[in-house]
Amino acid sequence: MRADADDFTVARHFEAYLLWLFGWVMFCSSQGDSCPKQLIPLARSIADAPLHEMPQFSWGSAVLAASYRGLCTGVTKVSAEEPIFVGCPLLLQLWSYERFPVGRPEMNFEPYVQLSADHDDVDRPTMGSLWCLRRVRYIVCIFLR
Amino acid sequence: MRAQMYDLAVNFFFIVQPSWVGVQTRKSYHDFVGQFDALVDTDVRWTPYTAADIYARAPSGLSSLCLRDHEYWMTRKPILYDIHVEEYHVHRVMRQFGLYQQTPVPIVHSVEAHVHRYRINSSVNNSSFFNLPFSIESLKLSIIGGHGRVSHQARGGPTRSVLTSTLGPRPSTTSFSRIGRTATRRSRTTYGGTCRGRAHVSCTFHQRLRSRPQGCRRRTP
Repeated sequence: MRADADDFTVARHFEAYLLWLFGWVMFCSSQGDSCPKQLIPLARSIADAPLHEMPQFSWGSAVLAASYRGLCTGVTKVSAEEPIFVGCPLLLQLWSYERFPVGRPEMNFEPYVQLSADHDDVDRPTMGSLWCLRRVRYIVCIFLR
Repeated sequence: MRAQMYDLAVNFFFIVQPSWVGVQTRKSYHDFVGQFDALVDTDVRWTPYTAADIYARAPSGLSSLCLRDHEYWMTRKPILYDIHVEEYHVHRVMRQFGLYQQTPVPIVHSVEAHVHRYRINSSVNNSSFFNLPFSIESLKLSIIGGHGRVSHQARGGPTRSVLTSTLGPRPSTTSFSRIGRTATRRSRTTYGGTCRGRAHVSCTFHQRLRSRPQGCRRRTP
């Protein structure tokens, strides 16, 4: 996107990002690189709304419900062709990483200290940033042993 | 020598792509099941988001969005996505919120089995309740009317019952604009502020529990 893009262009880019977020992160489905159709008008309404009148939805509970549903149907799958898990795999993965020492990467658990100067209160890291943004520590462990 | 080794390691650290720990097995399902079976209760972090844990990871505070909507975590209603209705039983995991956990854990079901079994490809005409994810306003209603008994009619019932079940009087607990303001105020402080925010939640939740002791007990199938 160009730096001098007009509002319409920005809104369309925002809408595309929202659709990517819905389809690839929050509500993963078995449909490949597509987005659930009932979310398309929601993405458009969010993208077209002015900044302070953005429609508020409880996305957290929706993601949780979709993941619960995905877990519920996932345990009844019988063939390898069916999708194993639909919903929000990132959420399930972070939930598991924080609790179980099974299958999780070894990370650098240093606290977040180096925040860039343009960080504001909203743009701070989250608990999950550790697993998503940091690199795996495994190689270092081998050399220092 | 050790310092050189460390430099070498750091260089590798930036060159090598992230990879998974351990060896990937072909029959990973059995491998993982075995590992889960070998877990004992001391291996599991039961409460990973305590104040101490959060401070150890982020001394200067997490994103203000992490705790902004904490009042909605305590909703007592089923949660919805698309046509799916799922149970949300926060009273089974109260320790994760630093609250008192009733033991034995009360097993109640807020969603009846036939409601839960709705599927997209079932014969039900589901076009009438593509109404989801539900809005903050409706979730607010569901928190406030948290003690109301949910009545599930045959089809389209779950959605409408969540959206309209405001049986009780409205206490002045939540309004979205207020939550926004408190978050703004709190986010200027460091983590101590968010701690107090959490304590506030527990306080209001306990008040709500005490004022409506029948809220926990729902109809059991």
